[in-house]
Amino acid sequence: MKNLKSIIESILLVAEKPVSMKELAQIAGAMISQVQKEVLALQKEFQNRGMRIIRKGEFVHLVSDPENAEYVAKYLHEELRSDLTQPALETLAIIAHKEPLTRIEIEEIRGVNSEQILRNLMIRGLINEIGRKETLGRPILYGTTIEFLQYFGLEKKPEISKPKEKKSLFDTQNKKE
Amino acid sequence: MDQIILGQFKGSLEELTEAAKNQKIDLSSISISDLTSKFLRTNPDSEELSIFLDNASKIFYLKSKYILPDTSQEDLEETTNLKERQEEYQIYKDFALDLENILSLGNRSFKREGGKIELKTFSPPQNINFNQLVKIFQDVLSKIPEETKEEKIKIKKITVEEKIIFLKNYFKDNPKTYFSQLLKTARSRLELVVIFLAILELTRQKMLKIKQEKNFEDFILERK
Repeated sequence: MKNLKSIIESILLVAEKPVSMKELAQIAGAMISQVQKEVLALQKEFQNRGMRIIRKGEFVHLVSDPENAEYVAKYLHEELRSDLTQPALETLAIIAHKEPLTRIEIEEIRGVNSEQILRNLMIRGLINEIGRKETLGRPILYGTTIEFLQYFGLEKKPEISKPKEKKSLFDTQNKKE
Repeated sequence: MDQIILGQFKGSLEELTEAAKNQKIDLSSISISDLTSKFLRTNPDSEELSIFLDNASKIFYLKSKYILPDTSQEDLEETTNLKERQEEYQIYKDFALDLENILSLGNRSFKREGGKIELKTFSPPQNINFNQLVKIFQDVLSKIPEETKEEKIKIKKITVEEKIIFLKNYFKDNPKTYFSQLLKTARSRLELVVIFLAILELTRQKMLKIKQEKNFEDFILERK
């Protein structure tokens, strides 16, 4: 078989949306575990390049290096400033940490109705419906999307900090600074 | 009412109150209504009455406290629950702040954008004239399948107002008529109902009088 890593890289280069590793494996005629291994290797190789592979669950996506955001944004004529409100960020934080979870579970933590916020976050593609909870009424389960990582310039889902060592959160992010 | 005997207890009313206060007697075994009726049978004077009221109300208070569930423990649980929830919420608030900090760095990744086809100008083939365009447009129009019109079932509306006018005219010519006669003018069930309502309305307005000669016989409607 040809170089699997190279095949994956090529497909990711032309893909306009996240590609599942299962699909990559099928196309390349390889095992999913092999694909996972090569994706990891690519992620490492790209560290000193202008691109990144972000990963959420089974999906991987080739995106630009967040460090170059300023220039890429200039090229694309896009606005970098974010207009996510405090409640929206809060909701996003809860989902990012506890996903998958239902609207009721989010509202139990926040103590206020969060329907509108969830709708807005969905419209922006930062969260998604990722299933149904097998309980009374089968409520919708929400989770963050790969676009969420892209929007925040992260390679993987951020971890919540323990209250005492709050500053050490997103170490990788800070080291690059 | 000097002596009260209640199960194992034996003593004055004051002693009973004291016993109740110190939980030396089962509060549920004291029947205030029983005590009261017994007390009233002794024909008390005003002073005795005030003493009785004082003691009875004390027992009553103790009894009500005994019946109500103890809420102090629950309150405590609720407070700790609330505190835990606040703490949890605070964690997410901090997390949200972290996210905000990330955003403020402006380090965003961009994905490949593609597939956008932008048509900025109308670019028809060369050597095409207006008449040809009209013909093409008409061809396109003719290809659109004709909409099949759904047949609508028309329901003639009959209103009570209409029927009232009809009935008024009717009674001008026939000052006296049978109910069954009127119903024969109806062509549908709905009309039957409307006629009936119109008759009721005219009767209410005292323009009609309804009579019946015998039970189960036809109504006779008369103009007033």
